Amino acid sequence: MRSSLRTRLVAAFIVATLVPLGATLWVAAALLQRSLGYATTNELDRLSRTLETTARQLYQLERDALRRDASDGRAPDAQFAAADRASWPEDVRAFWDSGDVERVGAAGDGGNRLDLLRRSPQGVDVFRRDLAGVRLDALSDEFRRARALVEDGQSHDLRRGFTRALVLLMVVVWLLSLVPLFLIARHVSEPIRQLTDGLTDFAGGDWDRRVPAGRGDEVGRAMDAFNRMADQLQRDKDRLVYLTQMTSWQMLARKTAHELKNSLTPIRLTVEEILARQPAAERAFVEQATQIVVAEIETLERRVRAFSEFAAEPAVAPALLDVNAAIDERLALLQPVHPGTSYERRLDIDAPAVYASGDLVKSILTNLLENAAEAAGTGGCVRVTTRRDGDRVAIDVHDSGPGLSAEASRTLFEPTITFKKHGMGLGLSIARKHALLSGGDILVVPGELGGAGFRVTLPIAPPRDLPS
Amino acid sequence: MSRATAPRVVTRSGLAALLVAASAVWLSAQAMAISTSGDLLRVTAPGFGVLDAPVVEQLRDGRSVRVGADLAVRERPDGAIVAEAHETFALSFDLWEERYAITRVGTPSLSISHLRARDAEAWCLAHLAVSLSEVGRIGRDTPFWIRLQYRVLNPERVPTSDEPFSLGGLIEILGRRRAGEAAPKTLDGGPFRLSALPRPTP
Repeated sequence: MRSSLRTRLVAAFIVATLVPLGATLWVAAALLQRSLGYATTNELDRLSRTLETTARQLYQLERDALRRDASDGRAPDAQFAAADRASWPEDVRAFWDSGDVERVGAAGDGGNRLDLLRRSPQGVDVFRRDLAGVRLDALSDEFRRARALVEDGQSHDLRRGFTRALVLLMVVVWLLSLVPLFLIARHVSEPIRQLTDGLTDFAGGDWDRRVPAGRGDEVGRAMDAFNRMADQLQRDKDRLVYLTQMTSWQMLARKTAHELKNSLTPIRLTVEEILARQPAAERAFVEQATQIVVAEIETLERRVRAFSEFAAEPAVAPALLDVNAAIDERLALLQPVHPGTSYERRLDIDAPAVYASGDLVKSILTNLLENAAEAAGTGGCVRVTTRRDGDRVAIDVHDSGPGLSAEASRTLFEPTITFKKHGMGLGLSIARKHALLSGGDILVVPGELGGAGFRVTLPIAPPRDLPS
Repeated sequence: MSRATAPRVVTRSGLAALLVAASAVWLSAQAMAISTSGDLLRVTAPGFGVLDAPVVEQLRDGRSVRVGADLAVRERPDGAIVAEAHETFALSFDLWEERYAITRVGTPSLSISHLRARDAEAWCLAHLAVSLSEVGRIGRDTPFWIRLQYRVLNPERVPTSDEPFSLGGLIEILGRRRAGEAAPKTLDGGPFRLSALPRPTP
């Protein structure tokens, strides 16, 4: 079934061309038969025989007349004495050697004369008779040519030859025309087959399936559309999976935070009560112990707050946002905190505004820039770039830090996994969630400064939403 | 035998006699005889000539015809060849005088013209001879057989078009009628014995 379209195209061509081909063949063959009906081989046969008979009759009449003249005592036109035999012409000598008494034959210019050679006591007498312009040699040649034509015509069936040649040539031409047809059919059907295969595989769960692009025709546009659709679906699927995971993780975080919070408050109150009821002599030790416990409780409370923040559903209020301005603002806040790190801006001033929630975008930028500055450390460098990428704006953040391992890159956005000395390891998870909620995403890209590289993509504002 | 059946028997006997007589005439016409001339053994075969109908037809159309003539002497009818001769004759026909001309192809070539059909056939046979000394090797009393054969040598078919692959050539090939190859014309004679021949004069 893979080549059914090509087979159908070829079959359509064959069916479409066979009928006109057959009709053309029939008409041409009929015309040939009709035109060859005028061939006159038989007529030429009859005419040549008549010519031969007539010429022979003429010859015989003239010959008889010549013989009568010679017998009636007419003086010979030439005499060849036996004594001069050495000087005789070839035909006279041949006649003499043959022993014949008499010989008649055409002679003169093209056989326009009859010579009668007659043996005599002195040698050979030659009597001549002019044929009044009739050239027997020319007649012989014409007759021979006519007979050759008749023989040639009879040895060939011209109708059959023409008809067979016509059929053969038309079939050859038709078969030759099938070659480009096959190529064209293949050219047309192959991308459709690829597209069909791609759709089938994609529908079967092969989310990485794409079809070769690069054609400029309708099929090529369909293939490009398929690839874009597949990319979009794959992105959406990844987002959906991630958001689903996030939902589970948030639920877990919310419950954990709630349970911890419920337990930490009575613990803190109880410890403070124990400290208040202690006698003065033992107060110093208990006070020190209480401070330790309270410090740990505060640590746990911070983690509970982080969990709560992670579990919280931020408000999404998309609006037009100038990402370059947002980046400048975040860097201005960051530089005092990490003064030993240099910051490189490569911002596309023509980058269009994005349509996203400002708080979420700032949260994302803060997280990525903070992480980059910490990874780069003192003396390190952080590079921020912006550019338009299709219907999105891409924000790249690169650092000169140690970079990420393959394992880290794979599990980077999963919550509660940290690779830093401080923090809960929820920042990137929250940042990606915010990016997804904004209609964009965060990807790990090869670092340009030797360290890690991240790319945030955000949708640009629809044209109708852009300020005039 | 009744009186009524007698005429019928006579009629049948007469027909049979006529048939036998006709067969005898045909056989005698196809008979082969040998003779010697110097160191050559010649053959005469009245009624067996090269000028049969197809050859004459071609000649009367003004074309020349090449005929291969073979004479083979064998110890047995299908035995090994003791002596043989091959000649090629080119025949032509004078349309107006209705006489034949023959050229023996070879070295030296030999030509003759103004011959009647019977003379032309006799001339061909007269110039087709085997060496008597070669035949004599089998012994003067040893019987031998002779096979005389004529083959019309078809001329090479000349293509209509000079170009090897042309439309005219294609039509010529596809329209060609199957021309039957002329079968050799053969006459076998024998047994002969050299001892039965008169001694050749030196």
